[in-house]
Amino acid sequence: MPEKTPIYVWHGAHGGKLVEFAGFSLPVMYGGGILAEHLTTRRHGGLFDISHMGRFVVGGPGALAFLDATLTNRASSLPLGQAHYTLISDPEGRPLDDAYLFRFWPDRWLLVVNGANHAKDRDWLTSRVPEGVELEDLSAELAMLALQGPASDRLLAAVLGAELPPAGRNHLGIATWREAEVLVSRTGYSGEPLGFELFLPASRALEFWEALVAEGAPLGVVPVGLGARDTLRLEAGLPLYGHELRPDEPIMALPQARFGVDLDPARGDFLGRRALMAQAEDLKARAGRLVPRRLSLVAALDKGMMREGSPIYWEGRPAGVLTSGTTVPAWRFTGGEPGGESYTRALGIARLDVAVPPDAQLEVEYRGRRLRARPVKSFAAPAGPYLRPREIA
Amino acid sequence: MSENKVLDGLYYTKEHEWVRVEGQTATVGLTDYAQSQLGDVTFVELPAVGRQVAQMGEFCVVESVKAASDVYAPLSGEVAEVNAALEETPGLINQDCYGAGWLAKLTGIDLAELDNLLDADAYRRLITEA
Repeated sequence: MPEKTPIYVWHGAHGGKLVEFAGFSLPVMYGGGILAEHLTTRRHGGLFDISHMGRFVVGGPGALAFLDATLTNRASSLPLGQAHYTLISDPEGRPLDDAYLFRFWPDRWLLVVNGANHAKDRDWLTSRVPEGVELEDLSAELAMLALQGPASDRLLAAVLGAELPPAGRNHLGIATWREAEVLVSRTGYSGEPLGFELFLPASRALEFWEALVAEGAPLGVVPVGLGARDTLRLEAGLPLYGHELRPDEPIMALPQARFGVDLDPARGDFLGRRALMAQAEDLKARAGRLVPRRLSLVAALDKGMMREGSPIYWEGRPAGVLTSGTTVPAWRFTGGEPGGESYTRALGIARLDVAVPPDAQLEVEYRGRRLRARPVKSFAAPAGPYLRPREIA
Repeated sequence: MSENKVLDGLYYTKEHEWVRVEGQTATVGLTDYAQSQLGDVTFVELPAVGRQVAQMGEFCVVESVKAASDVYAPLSGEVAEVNAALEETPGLINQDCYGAGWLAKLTGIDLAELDNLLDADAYRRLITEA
Protein backbone atom coordinates (compact mmCIF):
# COMPACT_ATOMS: atom_id res chain seq x y z
CA MET A 1 0.00 0.00 0.00
CA PRO A 2 1.34 3.42 -0.92
CA GLU A 3 1.74 5.96 1.86
CA LYS A 4 -0.65 8.86 2.24
CA THR A 5 0.14 12.54 2.61
CA PRO A 6 -1.92 14.68 5.01
CA ILE A 7 -3.87 15.95 1.96
CA TYR A 8 -4.68 12.47 0.58
CA VAL A 9 -8.38 12.46 1.42
CA TRP A 10 -8.86 15.92 -0.05
CA HIS A 11 -7.31 14.89 -3.38
CA GLY A 12 -9.70 11.96 -3.73
CA ALA A 13 -12.72 14.05 -2.82
CA HIS A 14 -11.83 16.78 -5.35
CA GLY A 15 -11.36 14.84 -8.56
CA GLY A 16 -7.69 14.01 -8.10
CA LYS A 17 -6.67 11.09 -10.31
CA LEU A 18 -4.44 9.25 -7.86
CA VAL A 19 -1.32 7.36 -8.88
CA GLU A 20 1.57 5.90 -6.93
CA PHE A 21 4.67 8.07 -7.00
CA ALA A 22 7.76 7.70 -4.79
CA GLY A 23 5.78 5.32 -2.59
CA PHE A 24 2.95 7.81 -2.08
CA SER A 25 -0.54 8.03 -3.46
CA LEU A 26 -0.66 11.43 -5.18
CA PRO A 27 -2.81 13.09 -7.85
CA VAL A 28 -1.35 13.09 -11.36
CA MET A 29 -4.01 15.69 -12.16
CA TYR A 30 -7.46 16.91 -11.14
CA GLY A 31 -10.49 17.31 -13.38
CA GLY A 32 -9.13 20.06 -15.60
CA GLY A 33 -6.23 18.09 -17.03
CA ILE A 34 -2.47 18.53 -17.19
CA LEU A 35 -2.38 21.24 -19.88
CA ALA A 36 -4.93 23.42 -18.08
CA GLU A 37 -3.15 23.03 -14.73
CA HIS A 38 0.16 24.02 -16.33
CA LEU A 39 -1.32 27.08 -18.04
CA THR A 40 -3.23 28.15 -14.92
CA THR A 41 -0.05 27.97 -12.84
CA ARG A 42 1.69 30.26 -15.34
CA ARG A 43 -1.20 32.75 -15.48
CA HIS A 44 -2.41 32.76 -11.87
CA GLY A 45 -0.87 30.10 -9.67
CA GLY A 46 -0.83 26.47 -8.65
CA LEU A 47 -0.91 24.67 -5.31
CA PHE A 48 1.03 21.41 -4.98
CA ASP A 49 1.07 18.69 -2.34
CA ILE A 50 4.73 17.64 -2.18
CA SER A 51 4.82 15.86 1.16
CA HIS A 52 6.34 12.85 -0.61
CA MET A 53 9.68 14.67 -0.51
CA GLY A 54 12.16 13.62 2.18
CA ARG A 55 12.87 16.13 4.95
CA PHE A 56 15.81 15.89 7.34
CA VAL A 57 16.87 18.32 10.04
CA VAL A 58 20.56 18.35 10.89
CA GLY A 59 21.70 19.86 14.18
CA GLY A 60 24.27 19.56 16.93
CA PRO A 61 27.69 21.17 17.35
CA GLY A 62 29.19 19.32 14.39
CA ALA A 63 26.30 19.92 12.00
CA LEU A 64 27.89 22.51 9.77
CA ALA A 65 31.16 20.61 9.39
CA PHE A 66 29.18 17.48 8.57
CA LEU A 67 27.13 19.23 5.88
CA ASP A 68 30.25 20.84 4.40
CA ALA A 69 31.90 17.44 4.19
CA THR A 70 28.87 15.59 2.79
CA LEU A 71 27.17 17.97 0.32
CA THR A 72 28.59 19.40 -2.90
CA ASN A 73 27.53 22.96 -2.13
CA ARG A 74 29.15 24.72 0.80
CA ALA A 75 26.70 24.86 3.68
CA SER A 76 28.96 27.24 5.60
CA SER A 77 28.49 29.85 2.83
CA LEU A 78 24.71 29.79 3.30
CA PRO A 79 23.49 32.83 5.26
CA LEU A 80 20.76 32.57 7.85
CA GLY A 81 17.38 33.04 6.15
CA GLN A 82 18.44 31.61 2.80
CA ALA A 83 18.40 28.32 0.91
CA HIS A 84 20.52 26.82 -1.86
CA TYR A 85 20.62 23.96 -4.34
CA THR A 86 23.06 21.16 -3.65
CA LEU A 87 23.85 17.63 -4.68
CA ILE A 88 24.87 14.59 -2.73
CA SER A 89 27.84 13.02 -4.49
CA ASP A 90 29.34 9.58 -4.11
CA PRO A 91 33.15 9.34 -3.99
CA GLU A 92 33.23 8.97 -7.81
CA GLY A 93 31.35 12.22 -8.47
CA ARG A 94 28.09 10.54 -9.34
CA PRO A 95 24.84 11.80 -7.89
CA LEU A 96 23.25 10.02 -4.99
CA ASP A 97 20.59 12.73 -5.17
CA ASP A 98 19.99 16.42 -5.66
CA ALA A 99 18.58 18.40 -2.79
CA TYR A 100 17.83 21.80 -1.30
CA LEU A 101 19.36 23.04 1.93
CA PHE A 102 17.39 25.59 3.98
CA ARG A 103 18.76 27.65 6.86
CA PHE A 104 15.65 28.74 8.77
CA TRP A 105 17.50 28.66 12.09
CA PRO A 106 21.03 29.68 13.15
CA ASP A 107 22.19 26.23 14.20
CA ARG A 108 19.97 23.71 12.41
CA TRP A 109 19.61 22.99 8.70
CA LEU A 110 16.67 21.51 6.80
CA LEU A 111 17.67 19.26 3.91
CA VAL A 112 14.93 18.34 1.40
CA VAL A 113 15.60 15.37 -0.88
CA ASN A 114 13.68 13.57 -3.60
CA GLY A 115 10.88 11.32 -2.41
CA ALA A 116 12.12 8.43 -4.54
CA ASN A 117 15.55 8.63 -2.82
CA HIS A 118 14.33 9.27 0.70
CA ALA A 119 15.29 5.91 2.26
CA LYS A 120 18.56 5.67 0.30
CA ASP A 121 19.59 9.17 1.36
CA ARG A 122 18.64 8.56 4.99
CA ASP A 123 20.83 5.44 5.09
CA TRP A 124 23.69 7.23 3.33
CA LEU A 125 23.59 10.27 5.61
CA THR A 126 22.98 8.29 8.80
CA SER A 127 25.97 6.06 8.13
CA ARG A 128 28.19 9.16 7.88
CA VAL A 129 26.87 11.11 10.84
CA PRO A 130 29.71 11.60 13.35
CA GLU A 131 29.56 12.26 17.08
CA GLY A 132 28.03 15.62 17.84
CA VAL A 133 25.62 15.63 14.89
CA GLU A 134 21.93 14.80 15.08
CA LEU A 135 20.07 13.86 11.95
CA GLU A 136 16.31 13.73 12.35
CA ASP A 137 13.91 12.49 9.69
CA LEU A 138 10.92 14.83 9.96
CA SER A 139 9.24 13.72 6.74
CA ALA A 140 6.15 12.41 8.50
CA GLU A 141 5.76 15.23 11.05
CA LEU A 142 6.47 18.17 8.78
CA ALA A 143 4.20 18.51 5.73
CA MET A 144 5.45 20.23 2.57
CA LEU A 145 3.37 22.21 0.08
CA ALA A 146 4.30 24.43 -2.83
CA LEU A 147 2.50 27.53 -4.06
CA GLN A 148 3.83 28.79 -7.39
CA GLY A 149 2.85 31.50 -9.81
CA PRO A 150 2.14 35.22 -10.25
CA ALA A 151 -0.62 35.39 -7.61
CA SER A 152 1.30 33.41 -4.99
CA ASP A 153 2.64 36.46 -3.12
CA ARG A 154 -0.77 38.03 -2.76
CA LEU A 155 -2.44 34.77 -1.80
CA LEU A 156 0.12 33.74 0.78
CA ALA A 157 0.25 37.20 2.37
CA ALA A 158 -3.55 37.19 2.65
CA VAL A 159 -3.74 33.71 4.18
CA LEU A 160 -0.86 34.20 6.60
CA GLY A 161 -1.84 37.77 7.44
CA ALA A 162 1.87 38.40 7.85
CA GLU A 163 4.86 39.74 6.01
CA LEU A 164 6.51 37.41 3.54
CA PRO A 165 10.25 36.75 3.34
CA PRO A 166 12.15 39.51 1.48
CA ALA A 167 11.63 39.45 -2.29
CA GLY A 168 14.13 37.40 -4.24
CA ARG A 169 14.72 33.75 -4.81
CA ASN A 170 15.82 31.49 -1.96
CA HIS A 171 14.80 33.85 0.84
CA LEU A 172 13.24 32.31 3.95
CA GLY A 173 10.98 33.38 6.79
CA ILE A 174 9.00 31.87 9.63
CA ALA A 175 5.34 32.75 10.06
CA THR A 176 2.59 31.75 12.45
CA TRP A 177 -0.79 30.65 11.14
CA ARG A 178 -3.53 29.86 13.67
CA GLU A 179 -0.81 29.12 16.20
CA ALA A 180 1.02 26.75 13.88
CA GLU A 181 4.55 27.54 12.77
CA VAL A 182 4.84 27.79 8.98
CA LEU A 183 8.30 27.78 7.39
CA VAL A 184 8.11 29.93 4.25
CA SER A 185 10.67 29.67 1.46
CA ARG A 186 10.86 31.53 -1.83
CA THR A 187 11.82 28.43 -3.77
CA GLY A 188 10.12 26.04 -6.14
CA TYR A 189 10.32 23.64 -9.04
CA SER A 190 8.22 25.47 -11.62
CA GLY A 191 10.57 28.22 -12.78
CA GLU A 192 8.02 30.83 -11.70
CA PRO A 193 9.56 34.17 -10.68
CA LEU A 194 7.18 34.16 -7.69
CA GLY A 195 6.63 31.03 -5.68
CA PHE A 196 6.93 29.40 -2.29
CA GLU A 197 7.59 26.12 -0.63
CA LEU A 198 5.92 25.80 2.74
CA PHE A 199 6.52 23.52 5.70
CA LEU A 200 4.18 23.09 8.63
CA PRO A 201 3.13 20.44 11.14
CA ALA A 202 1.44 17.57 9.29
CA SER A 203 -1.49 17.75 11.72
CA ARG A 204 -2.34 21.25 10.45
CA ALA A 205 -1.53 20.75 6.77
CA LEU A 206 -4.99 19.89 5.48
CA GLU A 207 -6.55 22.91 7.17
CA PHE A 208 -3.86 25.17 5.71
CA TRP A 209 -4.27 23.61 2.25
CA GLU A 210 -8.01 24.23 2.38
CA ALA A 211 -7.44 27.85 3.36
CA LEU A 212 -5.06 28.30 0.40
CA VAL A 213 -7.57 26.64 -1.95
CA ALA A 214 -10.48 28.76 -0.68
CA GLU A 215 -8.66 32.10 -0.75
CA GLY A 216 -6.83 31.13 -3.93
CA ALA A 217 -9.95 30.36 -5.96
CA PRO A 218 -10.97 34.03 -6.52
CA LEU A 219 -7.39 34.72 -7.66
CA GLY A 220 -7.54 31.86 -10.15
CA VAL A 221 -5.13 29.63 -8.21
CA VAL A 222 -5.87 25.90 -8.54
CA PRO A 223 -4.52 22.66 -7.10
CA VAL A 224 -2.05 21.03 -9.50
CA GLY A 225 -1.01 17.40 -9.85
CA LEU A 226 2.23 15.63 -10.66
CA GLY A 227 1.62 15.73 -14.42
CA ALA A 228 1.81 19.51 -14.66
CA ARG A 229 4.51 19.61 -11.97
CA ASP A 230 6.62 17.66 -14.46
CA THR A 231 5.80 19.81 -17.52
CA LEU A 232 6.39 22.99 -15.50
CA ARG A 233 9.84 21.85 -14.37
CA LEU A 234 10.65 20.72 -17.91
CA GLU A 235 9.70 24.10 -19.37
CA ALA A 236 11.87 25.69 -16.67
CA GLY A 237 14.77 23.40 -17.69
CA LEU A 238 15.07 21.86 -14.23
CA PRO A 239 16.47 18.35 -13.72
CA LEU A 240 14.64 15.38 -12.27
CA TYR A 241 16.47 12.58 -10.52
CA GLY A 242 16.12 9.30 -12.40
CA HIS A 243 16.06 11.20 -15.69
CA GLU A 244 18.67 13.96 -15.93
CA LEU A 245 20.48 12.72 -12.84
CA ARG A 246 21.39 9.07 -12.69
CA PRO A 247 23.63 7.15 -10.32
CA ASP A 248 25.89 6.11 -13.22
CA GLU A 249 26.38 9.53 -14.82
CA PRO A 250 28.81 12.31 -13.81
CA ILE A 251 27.41 15.20 -11.78
CA MET A 252 29.26 17.84 -13.79
CA ALA A 253 27.25 16.91 -16.90
CA LEU A 254 24.40 18.85 -15.29
CA PRO A 255 24.32 22.60 -16.05
CA GLN A 256 22.88 23.25 -12.57
CA ALA A 257 26.13 21.90 -11.10
CA ARG A 258 27.34 25.49 -11.56
CA PHE A 259 25.05 26.48 -8.69
CA GLY A 260 25.04 23.25 -6.75
CA VAL A 261 28.74 22.33 -6.61
CA ASP A 262 31.30 24.57 -4.92
CA LEU A 263 34.83 23.64 -6.00
CA ASP A 264 36.54 26.64 -4.39
CA PRO A 265 39.96 25.31 -3.31
CA ALA A 266 39.73 27.33 -0.09
CA ARG A 267 36.77 25.24 0.95
CA GLY A 268 38.57 22.05 1.91
CA ASP A 269 37.70 18.47 1.22
CA PHE A 270 34.23 17.03 0.78
CA LEU A 271 32.76 13.81 -0.50
CA GLY A 272 33.36 13.50 -4.24
CA ARG A 273 35.53 16.62 -4.47
CA ARG A 274 38.50 15.07 -6.24
CA ALA A 275 36.29 13.32 -8.82
CA LEU A 276 34.21 16.47 -9.40
CA MET A 277 37.37 18.57 -9.95
CA ALA A 278 38.55 16.05 -12.53
CA GLN A 279 35.13 16.09 -14.24
CA ALA A 280 35.14 19.90 -14.34
CA GLU A 281 38.55 19.94 -16.02
CA ASP A 282 37.54 17.21 -18.46
CA LEU A 283 34.44 19.18 -19.41
CA LYS A 284 36.33 22.46 -19.78
CA ALA A 285 38.75 20.79 -22.21
CA ARG A 286 35.90 18.95 -23.98
CA ALA A 287 38.10 15.88 -23.51
CA GLY A 288 35.07 13.60 -23.30
CA ARG A 289 36.83 11.11 -21.07
CA LEU A 290 35.01 11.65 -17.77
CA VAL A 291 32.10 13.71 -19.12
CA PRO A 292 31.44 12.48 -22.65
CA ARG A 293 27.94 13.94 -22.70
CA ARG A 294 26.39 16.87 -20.96
CA LEU A 295 22.79 17.82 -20.43
CA SER A 296 21.21 20.39 -22.69
CA LEU A 297 17.74 21.67 -23.38
CA VAL A 298 16.44 20.65 -26.79
CA ALA A 299 13.45 22.17 -28.58
CA ALA A 300 11.73 20.59 -31.57
CA LEU A 301 11.36 22.83 -34.61
CA ASP A 302 8.72 20.59 -36.21
CA LYS A 303 5.31 19.64 -34.91
CA GLY A 304 5.37 16.23 -33.31
CA MET A 305 6.32 14.35 -30.21
CA MET A 306 9.53 13.34 -28.52
CA ARG A 307 10.00 11.51 -25.28
CA GLU A 308 12.56 10.18 -22.83
CA GLY A 309 14.74 7.64 -24.65
CA SER A 310 14.40 9.25 -28.09
CA PRO A 311 17.77 9.04 -29.90
CA ILE A 312 19.30 12.28 -31.18
CA TYR A 313 21.31 12.68 -34.37
CA TRP A 314 23.75 15.39 -35.40
CA GLU A 315 25.20 15.45 -38.91
CA GLY A 316 23.67 12.05 -39.45
CA ARG A 317 25.43 10.40 -36.50
CA PRO A 318 24.03 9.39 -33.10
CA ALA A 319 24.86 12.24 -30.73
CA GLY A 320 22.74 11.73 -27.65
CA VAL A 321 19.45 10.76 -26.10
CA LEU A 322 16.51 12.55 -24.51
CA THR A 323 16.33 12.19 -20.73
CA SER A 324 12.93 13.94 -20.52
CA GLY A 325 10.56 15.11 -23.19
CA THR A 326 6.91 15.73 -23.91
CA THR A 327 4.44 18.29 -25.15
CA VAL A 328 4.39 21.43 -23.04
CA PRO A 329 1.77 24.18 -23.31
CA ALA A 330 2.39 27.93 -23.21
CA TRP A 331 0.40 31.13 -23.42
CA ARG A 332 0.81 33.50 -26.32
CA PHE A 333 1.74 36.78 -24.67
CA THR A 334 0.15 40.03 -25.73
CA GLY A 335 2.24 42.88 -24.39
CA GLY A 336 3.52 41.91 -21.00
CA GLU A 337 0.77 39.45 -20.12
CA PRO A 338 -0.53 36.06 -21.17
CA GLY A 339 -3.25 36.54 -23.79
CA GLY A 340 -6.24 34.32 -24.42
CA GLU A 341 -4.53 31.82 -26.68
CA SER A 342 -2.26 28.93 -25.90
CA TYR A 343 -0.16 26.58 -27.99
CA THR A 344 2.04 23.58 -27.36
CA ARG A 345 5.69 22.80 -27.98
CA ALA A 346 7.67 19.58 -27.96
CA LEU A 347 10.43 20.22 -25.41
CA GLY A 348 13.06 17.99 -23.93
CA ILE A 349 16.29 17.67 -22.01
CA ALA A 350 19.00 15.58 -23.61
CA ARG A 351 22.37 14.06 -22.91
CA LEU A 352 24.39 15.41 -25.86
CA ASP A 353 27.95 14.60 -26.89
CA VAL A 354 30.23 17.41 -25.71
CA ALA A 355 31.32 17.90 -29.34
CA VAL A 356 27.82 19.07 -30.36
CA PRO A 357 28.01 22.86 -30.78
CA PRO A 358 25.39 25.15 -29.22
CA ASP A 359 23.88 26.04 -32.62
CA ALA A 360 23.75 22.46 -33.94
CA GLN A 361 20.90 21.30 -36.14
CA LEU A 362 19.67 18.12 -34.52
CA GLU A 363 17.18 15.42 -35.35
CA VAL A 364 15.20 13.60 -32.67
CA GLU A 365 13.75 10.23 -33.55
CA TYR A 366 10.45 9.10 -32.11
CA ARG A 367 8.41 6.14 -33.34
CA GLY A 368 10.18 6.05 -36.68
CA ARG A 369 9.87 9.75 -37.42
CA ARG A 370 12.58 12.38 -37.14
CA LEU A 371 11.86 15.89 -35.92
CA ARG A 372 14.21 18.77 -36.53
CA ALA A 373 15.39 20.19 -33.24
CA ARG A 374 18.06 22.37 -31.73
CA PRO A 375 19.79 22.97 -28.41
CA VAL A 376 18.57 26.07 -26.58
CA LYS A 377 19.75 27.91 -23.47
CA SER A 378 16.23 28.22 -22.05
CA PHE A 379 12.63 27.58 -23.07
CA ALA A 380 11.23 30.48 -21.06
CA ALA A 381 12.42 33.54 -19.17
CA PRO A 382 11.03 35.63 -16.32
CA ALA A 383 9.07 38.72 -17.46
CA GLY A 384 7.69 40.68 -14.52
CA PRO A 385 5.61 38.29 -12.43
CA TYR A 386 5.33 35.80 -15.31
CA LEU A 387 7.47 33.11 -16.85
CA ARG A 388 7.24 33.91 -20.53
CA PRO A 389 7.95 31.36 -23.29
CA ARG A 390 10.89 32.25 -25.54
CA GLU A 391 10.49 32.16 -29.29
CA ILE A 392 12.34 29.19 -30.70
CA ALA A 393 13.13 29.27 -34.40
CA MET B 1 -17.17 8.38 -11.93
CA SER B 2 -18.28 6.67 -15.15
CA GLU B 3 -20.26 9.45 -16.81
CA ASN B 4 -18.72 8.63 -20.17
CA LYS B 5 -20.94 9.23 -23.15
CA VAL B 6 -21.78 6.29 -25.41
CA LEU B 7 -23.86 7.06 -28.52
CA ASP B 8 -26.55 4.69 -29.76
CA GLY B 9 -26.25 3.67 -33.39
CA LEU B 10 -22.46 3.50 -33.41
CA TYR B 11 -20.33 0.37 -33.16
CA TYR B 12 -17.42 0.06 -30.73
CA THR B 13 -14.22 -1.90 -30.25
CA LYS B 14 -12.97 -3.26 -26.94
CA GLU B 15 -10.01 -0.92 -27.44
CA HIS B 16 -12.36 2.10 -27.22
CA GLU B 17 -12.68 3.19 -30.84
CA TRP B 18 -16.07 4.00 -32.33
CA VAL B 19 -17.24 3.65 -35.93
CA ARG B 20 -20.21 5.28 -37.67
CA VAL B 21 -21.28 3.63 -40.91
CA GLU B 22 -23.03 5.77 -43.53
CA GLY B 23 -23.48 3.96 -46.84
CA GLN B 24 -20.10 2.56 -47.82
CA THR B 25 -18.11 4.98 -45.64
CA ALA B 26 -17.08 4.45 -42.04
CA THR B 27 -16.04 7.34 -39.80
CA VAL B 28 -13.72 6.36 -36.95
CA GLY B 29 -12.87 8.05 -33.66
CA LEU B 30 -12.04 7.51 -30.01
CA THR B 31 -14.76 7.09 -27.39
CA ASP B 32 -15.44 9.46 -24.54
CA TYR B 33 -14.08 6.81 -22.19
CA ALA B 34 -10.85 6.63 -24.20
CA GLN B 35 -10.30 10.39 -24.26
CA SER B 36 -10.99 10.71 -20.54
CA GLN B 37 -8.47 7.95 -19.81
CA LEU B 38 -5.86 9.49 -22.10
CA GLY B 39 -6.18 13.00 -20.75
CA ASP B 40 -5.20 15.93 -22.95
CA VAL B 41 -4.32 14.72 -26.41
CA THR B 42 -1.33 16.74 -27.59
CA PHE B 43 -0.44 15.14 -30.91
CA VAL B 44 -2.04 12.75 -33.39
CA GLU B 45 -0.09 10.80 -35.95
CA LEU B 46 -2.71 10.30 -38.65
CA PRO B 47 -2.52 7.52 -41.23
CA ALA B 48 -1.69 8.27 -44.86
CA VAL B 49 -4.69 8.66 -47.16
CA GLY B 50 -4.90 5.63 -49.42
CA ARG B 51 -3.45 3.26 -46.85
CA GLN B 52 -5.14 -0.14 -46.52
CA VAL B 53 -5.92 -1.12 -42.96
CA ALA B 54 -7.07 -4.41 -41.53
CA GLN B 55 -9.74 -4.75 -38.88
CA MET B 56 -8.11 -4.25 -35.47
CA GLY B 57 -4.82 -3.32 -37.11
CA GLU B 58 -2.92 -0.33 -35.67
CA PHE B 59 -3.62 2.65 -37.85
CA CYS B 60 -2.77 5.78 -35.94
CA VAL B 61 -1.20 7.00 -32.71
CA VAL B 62 -2.53 9.54 -30.24
CA GLU B 63 -0.11 11.15 -27.83
CA SER B 64 -0.98 12.68 -24.49
CA VAL B 65 1.42 14.48 -22.16
CA LYS B 66 2.12 11.20 -20.40
CA ALA B 67 1.89 8.42 -23.00
CA ALA B 68 1.41 7.25 -26.56
CA SER B 69 -1.56 5.06 -27.44
CA ASP B 70 -2.16 3.04 -30.57
CA VAL B 71 -5.52 3.38 -32.26
CA TYR B 72 -6.96 0.29 -33.96
CA ALA B 73 -9.11 0.27 -37.07
CA PRO B 74 -12.61 -0.96 -36.20
CA LEU B 75 -13.10 -2.17 -39.79
CA SER B 76 -10.88 -3.14 -42.70
CA GLY B 77 -10.77 -0.66 -45.55
CA GLU B 78 -8.90 2.13 -47.24
CA VAL B 79 -8.18 5.43 -45.53
CA ALA B 80 -10.18 7.87 -47.66
CA GLU B 81 -9.85 10.99 -45.56
CA VAL B 82 -8.22 12.09 -42.31
CA ASN B 83 -9.25 14.87 -39.94
CA ALA B 84 -6.59 17.45 -40.78
CA ALA B 85 -7.95 19.79 -38.07
CA LEU B 86 -6.32 17.51 -35.49
CA GLU B 87 -2.87 18.54 -36.70
CA GLU B 88 -3.47 22.05 -35.37
CA THR B 89 -5.94 21.21 -32.62
CA PRO B 90 -5.49 17.68 -31.27
CA GLY B 91 -7.57 18.70 -28.25
CA LEU B 92 -10.68 18.34 -30.45
CA ILE B 93 -10.54 14.68 -29.42
CA ASN B 94 -11.06 15.75 -25.81
CA GLN B 95 -13.62 18.42 -26.59
CA ASP B 96 -15.83 16.55 -29.07
CA CYS B 97 -14.71 12.97 -29.56
CA TYR B 98 -17.84 11.86 -31.47
CA GLY B 99 -17.98 14.99 -33.63
CA ALA B 100 -15.19 17.41 -34.55
CA GLY B 101 -12.60 15.06 -33.01
CA TRP B 102 -13.11 12.21 -35.51
CA LEU B 103 -9.90 10.60 -36.78
CA ALA B 104 -10.40 9.13 -40.24
CA LYS B 105 -12.89 7.88 -42.82
CA LEU B 106 -12.60 4.44 -44.36
CA THR B 107 -14.05 3.23 -47.66
CA GLY B 108 -14.14 -0.20 -49.23
CA ILE B 109 -15.48 -1.62 -45.99
CA ASP B 110 -17.11 -5.00 -45.39
CA LEU B 111 -20.29 -4.61 -43.32
CA ALA B 112 -20.07 -8.24 -42.22
CA GLU B 113 -17.13 -7.19 -40.02
CA LEU B 114 -19.55 -5.17 -37.86
CA ASP B 115 -20.47 -8.50 -36.26
CA ASN B 116 -17.04 -8.49 -34.58
CA LEU B 117 -17.78 -5.17 -32.85
CA LEU B 118 -19.86 -4.14 -29.84
CA ASP B 119 -23.11 -2.24 -30.06
CA ALA B 120 -23.75 0.71 -27.73
CA ASP B 121 -25.30 -1.40 -24.96
CA ALA B 122 -22.50 -3.96 -25.00
CA TYR B 123 -19.89 -1.17 -24.96
CA ARG B 124 -21.64 0.54 -22.03
CA ARG B 125 -21.40 -2.72 -20.13
CA LEU B 126 -17.72 -3.03 -21.00
CA ILE B 127 -16.77 0.37 -19.61
CA THR B 128 -18.94 0.19 -16.51
CA GLU B 129 -17.37 -3.13 -15.61
CA ALA B 130 -13.87 -1.79 -16.30
